[in-house]
Amino acid sequence: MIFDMSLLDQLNKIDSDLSEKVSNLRSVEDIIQMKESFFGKKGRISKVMQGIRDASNDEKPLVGQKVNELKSKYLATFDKKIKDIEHQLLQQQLIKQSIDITLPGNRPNIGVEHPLRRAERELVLICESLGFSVATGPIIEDMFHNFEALNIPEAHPARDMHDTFYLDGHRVLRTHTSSVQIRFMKNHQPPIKIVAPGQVFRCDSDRTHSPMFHQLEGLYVNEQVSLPELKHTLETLLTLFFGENVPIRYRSSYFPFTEPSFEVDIQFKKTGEWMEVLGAGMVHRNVFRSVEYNPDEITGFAFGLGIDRLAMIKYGIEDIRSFYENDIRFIRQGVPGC
Amino acid sequence: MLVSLNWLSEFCHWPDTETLVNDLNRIGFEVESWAKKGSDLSHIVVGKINEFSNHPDAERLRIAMVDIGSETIQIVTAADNVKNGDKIPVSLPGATLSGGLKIKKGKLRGVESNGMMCSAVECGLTDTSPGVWVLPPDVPIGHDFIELAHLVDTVLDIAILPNRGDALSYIGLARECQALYGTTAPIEQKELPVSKTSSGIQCQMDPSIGDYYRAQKITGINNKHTPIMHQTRLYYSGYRPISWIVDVTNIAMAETGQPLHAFDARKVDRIDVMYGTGESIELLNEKTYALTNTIPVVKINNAIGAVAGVMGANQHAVDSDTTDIVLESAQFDATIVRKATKTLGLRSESSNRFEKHVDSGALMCGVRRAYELLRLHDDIHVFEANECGQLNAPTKTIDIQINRINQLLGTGYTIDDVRTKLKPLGFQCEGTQMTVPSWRTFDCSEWPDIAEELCRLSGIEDVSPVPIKIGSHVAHHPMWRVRQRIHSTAIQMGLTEVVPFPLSENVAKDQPLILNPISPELAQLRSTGVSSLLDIAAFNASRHQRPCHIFSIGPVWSNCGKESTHVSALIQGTYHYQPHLPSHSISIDFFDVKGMVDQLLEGHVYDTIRSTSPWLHPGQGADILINNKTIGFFGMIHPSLTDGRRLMPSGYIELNLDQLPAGHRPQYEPVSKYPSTSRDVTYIMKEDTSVGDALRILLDHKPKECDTISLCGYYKKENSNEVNVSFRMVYQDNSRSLEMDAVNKIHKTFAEEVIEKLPCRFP
Repeated sequence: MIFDMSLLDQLNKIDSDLSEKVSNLRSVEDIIQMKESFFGKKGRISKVMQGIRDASNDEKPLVGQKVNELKSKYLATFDKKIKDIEHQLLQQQLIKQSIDITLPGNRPNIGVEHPLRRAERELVLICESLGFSVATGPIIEDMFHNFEALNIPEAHPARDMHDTFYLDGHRVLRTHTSSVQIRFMKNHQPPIKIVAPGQVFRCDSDRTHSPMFHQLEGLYVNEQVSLPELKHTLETLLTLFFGENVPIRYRSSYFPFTEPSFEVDIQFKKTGEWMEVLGAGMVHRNVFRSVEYNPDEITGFAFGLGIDRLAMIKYGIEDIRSFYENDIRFIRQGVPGC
Repeated sequence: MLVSLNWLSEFCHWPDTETLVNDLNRIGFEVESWAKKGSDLSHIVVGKINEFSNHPDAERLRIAMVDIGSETIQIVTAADNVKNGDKIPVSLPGATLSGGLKIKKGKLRGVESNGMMCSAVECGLTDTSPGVWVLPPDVPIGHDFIELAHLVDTVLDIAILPNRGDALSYIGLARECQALYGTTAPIEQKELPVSKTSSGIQCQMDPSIGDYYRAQKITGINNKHTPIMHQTRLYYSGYRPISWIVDVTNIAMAETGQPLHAFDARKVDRIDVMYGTGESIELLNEKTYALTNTIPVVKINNAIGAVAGVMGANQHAVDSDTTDIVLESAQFDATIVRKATKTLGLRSESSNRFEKHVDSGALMCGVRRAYELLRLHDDIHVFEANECGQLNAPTKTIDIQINRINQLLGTGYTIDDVRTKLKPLGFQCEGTQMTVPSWRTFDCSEWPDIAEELCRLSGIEDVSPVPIKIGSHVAHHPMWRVRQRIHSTAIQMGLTEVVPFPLSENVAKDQPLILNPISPELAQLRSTGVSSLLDIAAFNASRHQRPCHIFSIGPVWSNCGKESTHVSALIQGTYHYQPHLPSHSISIDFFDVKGMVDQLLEGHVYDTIRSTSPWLHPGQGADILINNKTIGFFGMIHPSLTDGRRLMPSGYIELNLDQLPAGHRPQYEPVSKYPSTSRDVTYIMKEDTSVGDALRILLDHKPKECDTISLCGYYKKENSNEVNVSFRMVYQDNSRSLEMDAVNKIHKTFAEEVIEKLPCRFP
């Protein structure tokens, strides 16, 4: 029968056969086999095309057109089917590789910085943005830098404000970072704008006092430095450090190396108590004299922040001693955050 | 300083307690705490003991019949300092006493007791008391004792700043209140009667001890009971009432700030104020002190009567029989008194004031106040005062420099403003000159002192902030930057930061020691961070915190006290934390530690030599050298140290950051466009030949075509004393592709360098 059919009819028959079979294809092998049996070198279409020489001139273009139609219609379908099946197979295979996604991740060891260092680092960054640069000084200090040059002569009652650790008659563990002011001013000329973070030591221990604690000293010396500038600096610093306006209380106070002097208290949210966090003031003229500056030409301000107290308030730590106990469970609560 | 507001109200007024507390805080008188007193007390009356009988069943108890005016009640008491006829405070059933103690009718060992005799403790005046409070005989029986004794009061605890010795008195504080509220209560004082009766006492004083000494004999005093109200005020102000004469000196000192001392006048012929000569003497606190030649003393007829300005001696002290006294008032030198208190380790209300410069103007106020009080109760006789030295009232004037004050404070004050504001504090203004009152001359000497007073009174709150000029920026101290870099690397490496005290027990010979350590564990300045971190690891291990990976950046000192900054890291236990992973059980080893050293020293080339540090495992420790200078050490902690602390094997690193050369700024170059090729070489080496030796030879002879050399194999056969060591060389040229043959040739020559120089062979 087939030989009686025109080429075009034969191709139409192939078309209908294909369209019937294509939907039943299930495996990659079947598709390849079907592709070969219809479109291969020995496939049915090739066989039909062997008769093209005998076809009429009217029929030839139509036959060619039909072959192209078949190719474009089915070859792409075969390819797509293959891809679909392969994809399904891969999916099935991958699903078999399912794991318990609730198992813990293999974390690299995660380091955590100490809350005091964190507070210190943040404070220095803020001061840096205000134009201060870091200066340093030694922890073992002599009487001149720790006391005398700061207008605290021997036998001055203000020495009682510092429970000092002595190494011998003339050396102490510095009781404040203010000694760095003297060291820096002796080696530099105004304008000066420094901060000095560091450890200081006093013979005192309770819930809010530790024999070692951390201060951040600030010093700005220039022509016509004023109290309003000091206030702005401190308020900016505290606001940026706490990320919000915190309740602040100013108290006039006395430090031999500043005049006027005041202290700043911040309310500790957990307990409601006011905690002294810094002392500040305008640099005393005797301090300028001790570093051979002319006090009639310049003025300055200085402040000393208690880093421990600020960290206590910011991170809700009630006992200063927990900073120095160094229980890693305590420290490791300090995951990065704001 | 404890301040009774009842007492203060005699000298000034204020709106209400809260306002006063806030304002005092603001102007530099920090109120550390304050408390309402006596308002919780009830049902306490004055009673008189009429009869005592013994308790039938208890030896230590007595039964007292006490007249409380309306009736006589029976009280069983254990008190042994009371006798028939004594008047005492009695709390009746229903009474509330200090601390919430409630009094009920009850039986003590079977005998009915209808009240309690009170001591000053139950009245809320003090924490300890020798016994029942025996009252003066003139108090009315049955009277409400709470009212009679003025027990309802408010007490402030004020921290007086060291420059404000002038405010260590009620009058001094009242001046501040007057500056705050403008109200004044005139302080009137009667003049002393002029007496021509000579006491015949001779006075001498070493002029270095003080400017002025005054001794005045007063006779005819009945040294018995101090009026109850004064006793209460003394208690609330932190003094213990002793006897009328002693209390008078304390009342006068509390009010005026002038310390006074009363000697029993029996047998006083001469008084010498001089330095000690090594005597040993018991003072009024019943402790004995050695009086060296820096201690100023008051000698009465050649026997020690007092440490000048500090405390009286038991000999020549007044007692209950004393009727005649020598009242001492003096201007002792602040520094001499301060040094004496330091040397003796003894402070008193008196020395506290002398150290902070007593106002020369207060001296006679104190004396007059004492006289007034004594005169109220007894018909006293005052003798001519014996004096030595001069009572100088130092004067000081300050050029106000209003423009500079305004520049400093950012204000716009006129001279008139200054005059008005500071007048209540006693400052007098004439033209541009300010006269400082006698009680502030120690504290005020230049225009910023005036600025301080203005600032204090107007407060900082109202100052409008002004931004500072940013100006030119100077680089941070290099150590700060090194610290920050090492800190962030250590955190990235998974270490937890700790902050130990850089102090230790006195363990190392020649290390600097603290003369006055707060505890023996914090007595010496450390020379290394090892023991600090071992202690922290042990502390955490004892709290079941293992593993423990910690680091710290902090100071250490050489034996001459030179400070340097070290980073120390201790890695105790396993490298990974997670117990469900196989790696959990693998302990940290030397090479984990060395990898951390590499990370910390990234960008530096360092050498290692075997360390002799006693802290380290002798076979697994290395000193770190950069440019032939030792900058630290690392390795496994000596097992005897970890075992002793019950720690697992631990790695340790310590680097001296001061010795770390400055890092280089990275410079970027284009990478080669041409392909690279690698060649491996394996050497069989004797076990005692180190990989480092081979690598050094390779690095020293590296041909220019060779880009990198890395160890790619290290294998030791069991029971062999040889190791197989393989290196991989990557060859690359920036300008061309390398020919295979050429690379092979270069590699062969290169690889042979090691064979020639070390005892090793190719496989």
